Amino acid sequence: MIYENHSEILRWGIILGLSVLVVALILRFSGAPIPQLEMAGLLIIIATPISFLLLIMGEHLLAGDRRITLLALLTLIMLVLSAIVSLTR
Amino acid sequence: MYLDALGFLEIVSGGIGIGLISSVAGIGGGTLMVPFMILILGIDAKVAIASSLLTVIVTSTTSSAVYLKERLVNLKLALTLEPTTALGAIVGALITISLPSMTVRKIFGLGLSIISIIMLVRTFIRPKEGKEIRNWPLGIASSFIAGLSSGMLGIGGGVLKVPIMNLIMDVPIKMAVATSSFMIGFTASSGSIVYILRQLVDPILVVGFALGIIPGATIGAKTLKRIKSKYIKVLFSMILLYAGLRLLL
Repeated sequence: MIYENHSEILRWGIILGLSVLVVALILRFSGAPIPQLEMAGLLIIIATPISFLLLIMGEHLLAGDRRITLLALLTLIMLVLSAIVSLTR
Repeated sequence: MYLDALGFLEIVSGGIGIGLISSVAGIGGGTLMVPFMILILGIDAKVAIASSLLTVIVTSTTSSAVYLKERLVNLKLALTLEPTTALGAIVGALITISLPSMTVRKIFGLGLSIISIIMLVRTFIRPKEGKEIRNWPLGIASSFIAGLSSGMLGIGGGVLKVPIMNLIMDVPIKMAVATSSFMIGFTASSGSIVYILRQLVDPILVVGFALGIIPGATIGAKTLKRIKSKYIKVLFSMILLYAGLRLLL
């Protein structure tokens, strides 16, 4: 499976998120804070496992494995629900 | 924002220490990070929990990349347990947000005390090495509690997920640890979305702890193998119990 052979994607996603956060913090300490950049770094970190979930879902969908696809979709629905609840409450 | 550049070094040093201890004790960093932030750095309980949960994504996702490569993760198991776990994390995060900080601090103290007792008991229970996964409905239902604790307390929840998988569902211990680590990324993401959108996460804490914990855990895993982990776990459980009671009382 692609996700097993390319699990490094997870590590690189986290490194990217942390790098963006480091740049944002350097800017903050040098007196030119960009809050959007800090938010972007945090969102990249969260998006990393979620993107991986989409990769798993897509791969199993193509392979015709409905069970894993459905389970991955359920987890994804929970994550979307989390965002909706946060925005509406 | 809660910390300046000078406090950053203190956080990184704390992260290295937490990484060292957690690699020997065999737990994630969340259970140590939150009390460290509240009791030592004097950070508000909600900010500590929110920032810890984000850091947990960083550490667990990094380690689950290794577990996936070694094919230790049981994908079917992870994705079957994850929807109820994620639901628990959302509910937990919403409960924490709706309560006053002092109440959150006391709830964390109670949760930490319970977790430390579970850890202490687990030290003396031999892990199962089952061949067939069973008790799926009970495992799925129990996962909600693991998710709830993750969202409410800012921890990965591995301290509950691993015993649920190993002792209730008969999952071999190595697979349980790897699958739990893989799930934590999703569980913590569900809770973190709630906290990020409420602007309760401090990026300095996330970066500082992540930069400390990752090398700390690597050094710990490579150099502290000879230490008898059973005694460390007992000592660590007692320290956690003390921290839990201090926050509670």
